[in-house]
Amino acid sequence: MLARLGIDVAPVDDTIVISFDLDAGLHGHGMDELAATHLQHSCIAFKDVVGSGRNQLGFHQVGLAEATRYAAEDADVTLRLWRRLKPRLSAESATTVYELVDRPLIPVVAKMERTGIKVDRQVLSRLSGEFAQQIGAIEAEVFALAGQSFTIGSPKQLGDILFEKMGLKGGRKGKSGVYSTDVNELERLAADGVEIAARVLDWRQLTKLKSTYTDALQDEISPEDGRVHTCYSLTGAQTGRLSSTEPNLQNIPIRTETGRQIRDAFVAEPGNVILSADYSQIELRIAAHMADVPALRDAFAAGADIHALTATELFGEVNRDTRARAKTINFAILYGISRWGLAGRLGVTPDEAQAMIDRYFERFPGINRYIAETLMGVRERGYTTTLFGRKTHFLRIKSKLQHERQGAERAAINAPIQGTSADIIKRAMVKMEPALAAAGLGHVRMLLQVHDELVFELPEGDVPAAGDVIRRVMAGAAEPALTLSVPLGVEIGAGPSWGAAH
Amino acid sequence: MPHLYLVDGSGYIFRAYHRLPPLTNQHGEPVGAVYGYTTMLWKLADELNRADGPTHMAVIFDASGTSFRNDMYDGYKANRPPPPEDLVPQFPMIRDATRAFSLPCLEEAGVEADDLIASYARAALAQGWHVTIVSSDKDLMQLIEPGLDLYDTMNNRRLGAEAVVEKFGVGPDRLGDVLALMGDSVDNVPGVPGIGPKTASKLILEHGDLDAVLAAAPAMKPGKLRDNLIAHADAARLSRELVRLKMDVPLVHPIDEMALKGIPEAPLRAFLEHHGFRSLLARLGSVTDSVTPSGTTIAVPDDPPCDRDAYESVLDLAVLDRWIEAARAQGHVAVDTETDSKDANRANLVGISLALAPNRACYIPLGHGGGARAAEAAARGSGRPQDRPQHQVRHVRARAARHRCCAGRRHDRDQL
Repeated sequence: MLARLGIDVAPVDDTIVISFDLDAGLHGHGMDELAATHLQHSCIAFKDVVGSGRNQLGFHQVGLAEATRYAAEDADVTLRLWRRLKPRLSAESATTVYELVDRPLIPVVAKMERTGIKVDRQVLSRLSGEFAQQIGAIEAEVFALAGQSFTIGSPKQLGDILFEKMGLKGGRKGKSGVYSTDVNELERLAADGVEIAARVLDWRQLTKLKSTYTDALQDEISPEDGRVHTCYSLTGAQTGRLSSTEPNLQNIPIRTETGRQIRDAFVAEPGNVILSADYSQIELRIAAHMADVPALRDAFAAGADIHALTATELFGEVNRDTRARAKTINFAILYGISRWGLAGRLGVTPDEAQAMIDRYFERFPGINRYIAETLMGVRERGYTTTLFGRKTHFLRIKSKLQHERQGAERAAINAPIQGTSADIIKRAMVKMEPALAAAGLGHVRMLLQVHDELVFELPEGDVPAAGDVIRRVMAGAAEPALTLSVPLGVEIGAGPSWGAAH
Repeated sequence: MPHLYLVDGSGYIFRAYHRLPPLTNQHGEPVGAVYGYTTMLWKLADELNRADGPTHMAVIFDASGTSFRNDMYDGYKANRPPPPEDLVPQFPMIRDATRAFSLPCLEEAGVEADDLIASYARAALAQGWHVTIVSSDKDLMQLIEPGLDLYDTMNNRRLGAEAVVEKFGVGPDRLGDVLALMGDSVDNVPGVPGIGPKTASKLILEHGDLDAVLAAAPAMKPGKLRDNLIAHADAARLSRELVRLKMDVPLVHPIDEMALKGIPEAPLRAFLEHHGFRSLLARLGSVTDSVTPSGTTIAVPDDPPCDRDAYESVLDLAVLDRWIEAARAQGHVAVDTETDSKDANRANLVGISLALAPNRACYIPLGHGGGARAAEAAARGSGRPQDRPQHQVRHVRARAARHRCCAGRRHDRDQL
C-alpha cells in the first residue's frame, strides 16, 4: 500500500519468514502463536479490539487508547521476536535459504500480487451456467439411482441413502454416528462398480469448482482494474512451496478439461498474450540428482522419455499401458507410497505392487538408498533438509501411532525433493525481473506461480525473445549456489488465455 | 594530534571478495570477504600505538538504494551487475564484524559512502586533525591534501599527492576534471568517448580545467577528439558533477566519539568463535581460557514483560521526529501496520506502529475517526498542512529508509 502512495522501504526482515525458515513443521508462524511460543506472552486478540459478528468495527473506528495498546504491542512483539530469531539463522545454518531464497522473494511476490491477472467475467458466468446444468443432470441421475430425491451435499442424508436405504456394504460410522462418505469411501464404492458413488464424486467435483472458481472468482475481480489479485503465503506449505488464497490458484485441476476451461477465463489485456513456463518433471530430475541414479541422470541428460525408460526397466517393454504404469510408479515412489497405496492406484494386488516396488529399487538402487538415508536422518534429527538447507521438521516421525508415523515418513521422503524444487522456482522468480530488464524486456510482467509453473503477460511480438530469457533463467535457477547433475527442462507455451498457453 | 581513520567498508568488501579464496565457516556460510575484512580491521587496530596509527576510527558503508547522483543522471551505476550471490549474505556479516570491534558503523541513505567519508574528513581537518582514508578508490583520491592521505591496506601502501600525479598526471585538485573526461564504465559515468587517462590528463594540464578544455575545443585541430569534445560537452559537464564528492552531508556521529579506547574483548571473541576464525582467536589469547562459552548456543535476550501502558500515541510532528531520530540512531526499527481489511491489495492504511526496544513502542494513527474520509478528518485536528497524515508517512519512510534493517512482517511489507 505504501508503494501505492509512492513510499519505498529499506531492507526488511520478516519475522514470520525467519521463523518459518528456522522452524517449519514445529508450529505455526502467526505473530500471536510466535509470541506465545517464544515470549510466553499472549497478545491482545484482534477480535477483543474490534468485536465480532454484526457489530464488528473497522480498525479505523477503534478508540485511540485501545488502538495504541493493540498496535504498539504488535510492533513491540515483532521487535522482541526479531531479536530472538534473527541470530538463530546463522547459528542454525538457515542463512542460505533465508538470504538466497526467501528474503529476496518477498518484494517479488508482493509485486505479483499487486499486478494480478485479468479475468474475463463472461467466460466465468458462462461456465457457471454450464456447470449448473451439468450438476442438475447429475443430480437427476443420482436421484434416479437412489429412488428418491435428497440433499446430496449433506453427508448424513447421503450416508443414510447409501448404507441404509440402498444397503451397500462396508459403511463405517464415525464418532458422531454418521456414516463416513469421504472421498476414500466413495472411491472404494466406485471401484466396486457402484454407479451412484461415482456420480456423487462427479457432483462434488463440479459443485466445488463452481463455488470456488467460476462463482467465487467473479467476486474476486477488482473493480479498479478488472484483475484478480491472489494472495501468496511464503509460509503456507511446510515443504517451502508457495501457497495462495483468495483465490487459491493451486487447486485448479491440472490436466482435466474443466481445469482448462477455468484457465481460459484468465486472459491477457488486448495486444498481449499469456505465456506459461513450466518445469518439466522437475521432481524426478531432482530425485535423480539427490539419489544419484546414473540411469535416470543419463536419461535426462540425453533428453530421453523417462517414463518409457522406467517401463522398459520394470516391464521389459514400452507400450501405452506399461508407460502409464511406469509413470504412476515414478511419482508414487517419490511420495513414499506403500504397497497398498500403489495397489489401489494401479488396480493390482498389494503383493504385485510390492513386487513392482522391489523391482524398481533393484533397477534404481540409488532411490532406495536415498529413502533409507532420508528416513535415518529425519529420525535422528527430527527434520529433513533441501539442497539449499531448508529444514522441514516432522514432529510425528516418532509417534507411537503407526498411521501418524507412516504419514510423517511418507512426507519426509518427499519433502527434500519437493522443497528443493520449490527453492529452485523461487530463485527463478527472484532472478527473473533483472534478467528480463537486462534483455530490454522490463515490461514483461510475471503474474502467477502455480506449483512448477510461472505465468507471464507480455506483448505478442515479445514471445520469442522473452521465452528465451525465461527458459534460461528457469533452467539455470539453481546456479551458482548449486550445480545439478541433471539439466532442468522448461516447457513454454503462449496464447490469448492461460488455458490456451498450456 | 588526533588521527582519524575512515574505512571505506563497501569498497573493501568487493576487493576482498575478489582477492580471497571462497572460504566457508562451520555453518556453511560463505565468509571469504568477511575474513579478509576482519584481518584488515585487526591490522589497523594493531597500529593504534604507532606514530601514524589511528586514534579515532569509523567504518563507512554504502546504504542500499539510490543516491542523489541518480537524480542527476538516472543511468548512474545502472550497468552494475548484481553482486555475486555468495557475497550478498556477507554484507550484514561485515557490519557484524565492525560492531564486534566496537567501531562506529556509518551509512546514510541518499548519499554514497564516498560522500560521507568526504564530509567526516573535512570536519576532522577543520579541527586540525590528521585523516587517513582506508581505501584505494580513485574518486576518494580527490580528497588528498596536506594532512589527509589514502591507505591501501592490500598493497600496504600510503597514497599522497605524488601517487595521484604518478597515476593520473595531475594533482588531487584537478583529478575530478580528469575523471570527468575519462568517464567510468563501472559506475556508468559517461565521460567523453575516446578519451582515456593519458589524453584526459594531457588536456587538463594544457588548458587548466574541464571548462577551459571544453571552451578550447572548437579551436582544436579537426579530428575525432575535437568532434567528441564538442558533441559530448554536456556529458562531460554532467560527469564532472557525478564525480564531485559531496562534502556537506549532515554528520550524525560526532567525530570525538570515534575515539579508539582499546577494543572490548567479549564481542570480538564471540564473533571470531561464531565464524571459527581460529588463527585470529589464537592471537586474541588462548581459546580454552575463554570466559564465554563457545559453540552455537544463542543467548536469549532477557527482556522485561510486555507493558502495554508504556506505549505512546504519536499525535504531533515533534514527537514523531523524536521517534524517527531514535530509530535512526539505533539502526533498526520494528514496523507494523494497521489497516481496515486483511486483504493487502484492497486495504486502506489506518495507522503505523514502531518499536525500538522492548516496551519502547508507539502508534501513529493516520486514519481514525471512521469513514472513508477519516484521513482528512484526522488532519483537520492539527490544522497544519504538513501534518496531513500522508505527509507524515512519507516523512517517516523517507527517513526510515536510511535504517539498515526493519523487523517487519509480510502483511506489513505489502502495506509498505
